[in-house]
Amino acid sequence: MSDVIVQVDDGFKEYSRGSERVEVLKGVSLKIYRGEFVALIGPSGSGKTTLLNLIAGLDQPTRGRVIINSRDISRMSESELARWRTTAIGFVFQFYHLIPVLTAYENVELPLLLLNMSASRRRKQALNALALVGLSHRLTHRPGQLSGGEQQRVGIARALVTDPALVVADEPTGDLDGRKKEEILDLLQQLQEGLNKTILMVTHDHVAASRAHRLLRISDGRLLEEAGESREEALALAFPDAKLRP
Amino acid sequence: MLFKFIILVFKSLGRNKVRTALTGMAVIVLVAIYAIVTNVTATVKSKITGGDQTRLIVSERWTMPSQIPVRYVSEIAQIPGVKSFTTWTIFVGFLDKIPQADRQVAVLAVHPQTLREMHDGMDELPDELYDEWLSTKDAVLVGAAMMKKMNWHVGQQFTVFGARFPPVDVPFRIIGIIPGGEWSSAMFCRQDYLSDASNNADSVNAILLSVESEERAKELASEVSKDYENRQPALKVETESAGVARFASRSTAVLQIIDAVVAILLINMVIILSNSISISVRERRVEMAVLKVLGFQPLHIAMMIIGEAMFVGGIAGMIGTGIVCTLSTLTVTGVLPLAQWNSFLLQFPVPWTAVAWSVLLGAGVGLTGSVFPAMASRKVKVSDVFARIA
Repeated sequence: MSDVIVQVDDGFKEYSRGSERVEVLKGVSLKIYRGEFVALIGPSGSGKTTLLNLIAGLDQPTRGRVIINSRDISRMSESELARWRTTAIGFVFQFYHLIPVLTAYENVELPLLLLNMSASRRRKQALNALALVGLSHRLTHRPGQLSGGEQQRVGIARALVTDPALVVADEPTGDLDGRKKEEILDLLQQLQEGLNKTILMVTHDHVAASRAHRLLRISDGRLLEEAGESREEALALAFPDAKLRP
Repeated sequence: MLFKFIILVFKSLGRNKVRTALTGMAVIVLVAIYAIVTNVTATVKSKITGGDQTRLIVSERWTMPSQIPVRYVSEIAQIPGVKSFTTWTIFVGFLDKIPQADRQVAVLAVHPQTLREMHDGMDELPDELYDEWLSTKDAVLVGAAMMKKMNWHVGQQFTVFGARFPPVDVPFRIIGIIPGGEWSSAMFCRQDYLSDASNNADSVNAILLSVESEERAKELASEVSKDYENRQPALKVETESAGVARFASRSTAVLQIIDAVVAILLINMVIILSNSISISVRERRVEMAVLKVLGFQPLHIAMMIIGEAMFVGGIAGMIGTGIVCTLSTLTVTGVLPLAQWNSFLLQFPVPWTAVAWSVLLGAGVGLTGSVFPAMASRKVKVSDVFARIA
């Protein structure tokens, strides 16, 4: 676990709101190692999603560097980032965001269309990804014909299909109830353990956060991990009212 | 990948079937109107610019309707350079003794021996039918649409009760149907028969000449005009295209207005498509952001939007013109009894080649209408979209 896959050095992010400048991230630095399951937690407006967007190459830092898999993505152009994202990052959304007119198989195959790949290989990879999430029997179903849990499984299969080293998940269980939530968390854990994927998950949920190996607590644009608190201490601080898993 | 991309475009159109269908229908109607209107203006303009310069129309100079003495016909037909000729006399009347507007007909009496060579499309007349025409004095050839409209059949006899004074009743026998579409609502009878039956062997309405060359036609027009300038009645000679141009010159303003309407139609089509595509782009901002997250380039997304619009436009163009062409063909051939209200399409039948052009036109309109929405789709910023959702 010594191999650094995500490195953020003194990352700042500012937005302008009218004439006002809003500083969302204030000098965040972090490292995430290959094969880690990391949860990014913190109150609303603390900068979790902004940090996730920087790491996923969806946004650029105002200052600082973001290095993913030894590659500095902070200065890439939009089109370079788009090309890079296809193979380097798998993204899991809270609301699944599947294309409603495509079947489960077609949704998973979608990122592969951007790669120079034969149709047979594309098919094989898409089917493998769907098998990994246990949806081989739902290939021809459209999102509207699938349950929330199944849609999120398709979303995870889509994130994995290009075999990225890093999977980022923004509130992946935020739209699911108890049992479905557990199933998705089990699945993410299996993928992390079985395929040695690095998973970075933003969550508000203590159950989801408790599944992670490490917690990165963010507050007011600053990372609090450096305070040296243990995982349990961080969970207790982030979710004071929750009954935590051992 | 291109095939998959096309499938994706095609499937995207199915996400809001009602809107796609309504947009398509709007374009279908506009393309249909566009096809009809441009066909009319193009036909008139081509007749003016591309008319046969070796055909001359001789008519009375000062009086309407023109009455040319029959003695002039043989004089003019014998002028050197005249290859062939026919006379035209329009006999207007009713099919019943008591006149009714919807039973009014006009029969065009022509020189029987030159029917085929002097009338476009008549060269397709079968030999047996042409022989029967030559040997049957009361023969009448009827266009397919007219046959359908009147519910007539070959071999049927009918009488036309003349509308002018002195009243004459002229019986005819239908010997066959005129081939092709140009004369679909016309009726041809023999000049010699009409002259006998109507007791008017003195005059015809016009003489149509076919001259050996364009140069000779110009000389001949000048000679005849000059020779008959001071005779009673005086004559005027003009080329067939000049005749059309003279008619059209009175309608120049109308043609210009039609051209303006056509331009407005095109702009209208662009606006309708643009509006529909813009709504679609706004609705799909999240989806576009997701595609960007997956690695789709802004150009990919813009091409999808443009592809959808071109597809809708192209298909709608094909259907719109296809409907007009089908109606036109069915009317011209008399399969559909639409001649009464569709006489416009009879005079200006829309060719099938227009369908191919309309696909291009529709696709072009789609391309134009989707440029701005596609540009907007390129600018979708992923972090902004997801920030709003969160």
